[in-house]
Amino acid sequence: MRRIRKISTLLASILGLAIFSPSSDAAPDTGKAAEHPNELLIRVEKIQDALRDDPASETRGKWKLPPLAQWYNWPNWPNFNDWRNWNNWNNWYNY
Amino acid sequence: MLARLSRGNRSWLKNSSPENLVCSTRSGQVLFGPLELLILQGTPFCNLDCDYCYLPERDNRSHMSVETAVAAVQFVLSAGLVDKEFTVVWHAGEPLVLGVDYYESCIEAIDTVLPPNVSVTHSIQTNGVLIDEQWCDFFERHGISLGLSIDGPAHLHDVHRRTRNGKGTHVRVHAAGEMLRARGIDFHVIAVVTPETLKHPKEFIEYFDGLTQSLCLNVEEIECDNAASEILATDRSVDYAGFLYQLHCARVELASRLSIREIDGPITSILQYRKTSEKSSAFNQENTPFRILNVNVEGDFSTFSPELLGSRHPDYGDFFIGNVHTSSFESCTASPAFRSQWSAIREGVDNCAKSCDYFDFCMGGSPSNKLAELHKLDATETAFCRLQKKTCTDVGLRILEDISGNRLRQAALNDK
Repeated sequence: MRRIRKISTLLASILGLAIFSPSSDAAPDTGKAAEHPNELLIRVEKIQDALRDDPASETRGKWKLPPLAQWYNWPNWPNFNDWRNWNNWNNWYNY
Repeated sequence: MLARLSRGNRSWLKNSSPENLVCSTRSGQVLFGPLELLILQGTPFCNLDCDYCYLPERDNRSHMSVETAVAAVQFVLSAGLVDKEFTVVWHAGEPLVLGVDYYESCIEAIDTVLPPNVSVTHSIQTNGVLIDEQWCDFFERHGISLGLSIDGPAHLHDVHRRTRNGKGTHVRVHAAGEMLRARGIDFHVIAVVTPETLKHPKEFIEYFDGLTQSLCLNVEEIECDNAASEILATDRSVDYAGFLYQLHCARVELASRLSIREIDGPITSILQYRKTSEKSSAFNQENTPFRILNVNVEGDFSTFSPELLGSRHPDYGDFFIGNVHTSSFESCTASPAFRSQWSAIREGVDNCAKSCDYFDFCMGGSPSNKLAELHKLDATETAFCRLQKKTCTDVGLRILEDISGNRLRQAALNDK
């Protein structure tokens, strides 16, 4: 049993070295995300959690917008559900 | 009928060096097109001489022949770049100097070569000084998607947007906007934002509220002939964020129906962002090959950012990859010019993905801004990124955090 534990520890340390060594080929190339959590995406998730009416829903763009717009007193709340895709605003000439 | 490396262009792929051409998108798929914008330079000439203009040949009075316009459409159709619809944008000069008859001829000729299952929208971005009732009839007749360039009230607009005699153009452009509004013709506005604009958020909103329902803000960019920009010279992220936030507050206060691309776009992106969403490509319209095709008066064409039309660079020449009269799609995609541009742009996007937290809301930036500011296509963050992407996203986050925070507080009060 003790030997198994020793082997496990040894394996873990080897694996740990393999994963965290900067020169390791096994390290996933996730760039900055691997170095630190993306604070921006954490904020996005918090906003979505607070505003999504059904937290379990994974369906894109399902927000109960009219009550939210009314509550916010913003008559021209954009109709987000109608936008062609979530990254549309980056396009050069889509209005 | 998308032109994908993995499908339509397989023969070309076989004859090329795939390792140079296949890029590492998150979905592992490379898309060429589908074409969204066919940008036709009717003429490089402009009747104005705005001091921040980036167009290098605005004294050149040549114009694109109807045959070249038709050849451009035939080229994108035969290349398999068109899905079901695309937009022809008449741009890169002042389109209206060519007159109504020119566009009537072009539209009629283009319609004759369009298959029945493909629809085209014609779009014109104009400085507005030539708009009259005859133009309004034309816009209505063809359902033209129209954009007007106005920088706000006269004291902001006339400083930069002037005639060749140095006179301000605000009176004429504003009159054009009023004429369009009176005729019920929808149009969006593109307003160039300078450091002076940032001082007048409320006046800015009050001016545009009611004139248009769609406002797009362009910070003055460093591109082509415009080698310097006061707003990009120092980091004005904080000032620009404050300006945008005040624009939003002002429109809420006015109960305005004005949509502002630089605020509502990021808000949409934030609300619809999904970490596990299926993204067809980790690239945006400007850095994906053949989602935009830019054709000059002679029929020479480039892809990627429209502003590359007219740019020159020691490594990439004039950015043209073919001519609509003489080139095949296969020859232009196999050309050294295209391959060197695409390789560098792809590397830049990959570098952006690795180094920038905002990548998911930008998808790799704009090649023309990278080139103009940092003199290479494989660069990452530009001053333009900091203002138009990062700052806008930050403002979207702040507005949504206001809303979500208030909503949670309201829910807590209701519970009591």
